[in-house]
Amino acid sequence: MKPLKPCHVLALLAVLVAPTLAQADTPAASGCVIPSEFTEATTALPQVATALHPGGTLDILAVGSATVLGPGKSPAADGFPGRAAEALRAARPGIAVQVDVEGSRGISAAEQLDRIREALKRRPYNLVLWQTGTVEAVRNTSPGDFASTLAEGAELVTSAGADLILVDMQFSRFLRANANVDPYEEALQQAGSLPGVVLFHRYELMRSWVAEGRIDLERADRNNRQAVAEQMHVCLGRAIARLVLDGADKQP
Amino acid sequence: MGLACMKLVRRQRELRVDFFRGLALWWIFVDHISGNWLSYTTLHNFALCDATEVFVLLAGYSAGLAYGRSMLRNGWLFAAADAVRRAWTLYVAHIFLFVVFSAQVTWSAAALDRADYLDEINLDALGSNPYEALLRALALNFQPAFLDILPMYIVLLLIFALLLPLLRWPAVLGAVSFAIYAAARVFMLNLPTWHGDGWYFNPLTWQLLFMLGAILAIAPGEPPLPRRLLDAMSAAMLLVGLVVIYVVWERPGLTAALPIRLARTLFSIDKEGLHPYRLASILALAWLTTRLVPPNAAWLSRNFAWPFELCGQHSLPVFCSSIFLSFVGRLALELDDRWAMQIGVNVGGAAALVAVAALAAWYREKGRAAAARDRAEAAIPGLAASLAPASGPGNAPNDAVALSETARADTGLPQG
Repeated sequence: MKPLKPCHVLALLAVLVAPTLAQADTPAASGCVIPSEFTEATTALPQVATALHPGGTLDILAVGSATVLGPGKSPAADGFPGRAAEALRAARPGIAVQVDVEGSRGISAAEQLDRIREALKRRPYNLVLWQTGTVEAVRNTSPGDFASTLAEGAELVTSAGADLILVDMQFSRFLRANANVDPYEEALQQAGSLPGVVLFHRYELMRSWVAEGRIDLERADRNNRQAVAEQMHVCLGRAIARLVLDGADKQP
Repeated sequence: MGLACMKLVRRQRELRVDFFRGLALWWIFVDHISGNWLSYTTLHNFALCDATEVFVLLAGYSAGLAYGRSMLRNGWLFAAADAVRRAWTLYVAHIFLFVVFSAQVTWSAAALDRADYLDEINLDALGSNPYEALLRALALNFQPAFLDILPMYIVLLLIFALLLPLLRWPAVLGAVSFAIYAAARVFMLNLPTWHGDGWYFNPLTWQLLFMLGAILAIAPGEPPLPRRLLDAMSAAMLLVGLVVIYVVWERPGLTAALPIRLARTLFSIDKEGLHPYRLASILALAWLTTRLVPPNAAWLSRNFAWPFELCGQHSLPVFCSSIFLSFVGRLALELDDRWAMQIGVNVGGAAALVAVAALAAWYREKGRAAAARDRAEAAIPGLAASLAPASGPGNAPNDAVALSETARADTGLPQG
């Protein structure tokens, strides 16, 4: 082996140090690493923007299956929607952020749509977080029907004067190996290109966490599981909060 | 030990088929363990098809050999009854597996506090609506993950029993089968499931691969095109598969340069309905394999081949055990995901599968010997009346070809 030249040593150092510098803008203490590609809104969120004026209130409705409920006892606070609200409050101290969570394990997109319809009848919201797709992928229901349910939901939410953020499937090795996720992801992407709708790529973000060994719920042992689940929801919530603010700052 | 097991392999069979069937079973086991590093080496990483296609094609081939020949000798009714009896065996195995696997997953979910197992495997309904779930499971209408393969196999055998007479005119069988495939794909026909919109493995499309296997078994004949041309086409098809997997799917951005219809097709290659690309991929693979591996290839008798051949000859017990073992493997990897455990899960699992196959082979051999002895004794006057008819466990066939052998032995009909 040839002796290392100083320029090589410098290059090596740069390679080693660069990632730590790149992470400097993320809260290192909690270990959330959220690449910016996941928090860039593809379209403006005008209803959120109007709610974010000083002294305003941002009303969020979160609908989904098991994961909106979170790992703790209080679904409204511990799940990622509650964590997103927490992060939004921290980012915009003058604004009241309120979140209602509607969900139960194993409910399909069509059932979720019914819940959104009911909730929007009861009161207005500025933003709807709709986590969906896992149940469809596991049960192998028609991706076409899923796509039309999403389109109907997007129409319903936007005409009720709210913005919509879709949250795609939770990543797991099991789903990757045994369910055909792609057609449902494609349906979500299509819906995410509608006006007033943004897709949050939870599957890819979680996959990157697992690949880098940061947050890996499937490999957490029993004693750590609760802590890992909590961290995951905190990080997902922060990512969504950034996405919401990015969409609000965009010019329609 | 190895030598004793090697002797359990029945050598008068088409060992190539047994070998690749065993290989497919092993891949199915490996791929069903989520997070298994070995699953990066199995077929689906290199071709548009995977172990399921290999298994179904070879199941069709075996069925063609067993019931096709039996039909030519003994007539449709006789052979179809055999096929239906085999389907019944598969059904009973499926229901047993359903109970075992449901118990395994639900118990693990409760003991380890992992409700997500139930979500992922689609076993939620068993808890929320158990009465209906049992009925639906019996009707093959409720198929949790992994419990969707045997139901397809059952229906494929029943369709085959129905279409059996057409084996006399392979071109007609091929045309009818293709027509069903095309209609099912175009009009999206499928058998219903409880929650979803159809069976994960649509039997109406997959039957084409099964029938092609049967046709290859019964009417090998000359290929329709020059061999060299088929070689080139098959190689090109496999190359296309590699490009799709490693270029198109890895870098979706590149597809912007492609015509929109082609790009859309490349991203919608579905396994459920046996997409034409998957079909082409498995046929290309099968052609090249038959070109490279002659029926009497020397390595089929070598040391490393017998575990696969043994598994291939006893596919039903091996498959059912693999479903149970793959979930155990998943639990083990979730406990510890380092090298030692990865190796332990794969070596231990494979050894267990071979042991199941060896046990099945030993039991079958023992049963057959006992049955032959009983028959010989029954032939002695006076003893016949005192002995019940021979119906030892050895007469229970282990797979399609075994069944035809049993049928032959039982009926004493001349062999064509």
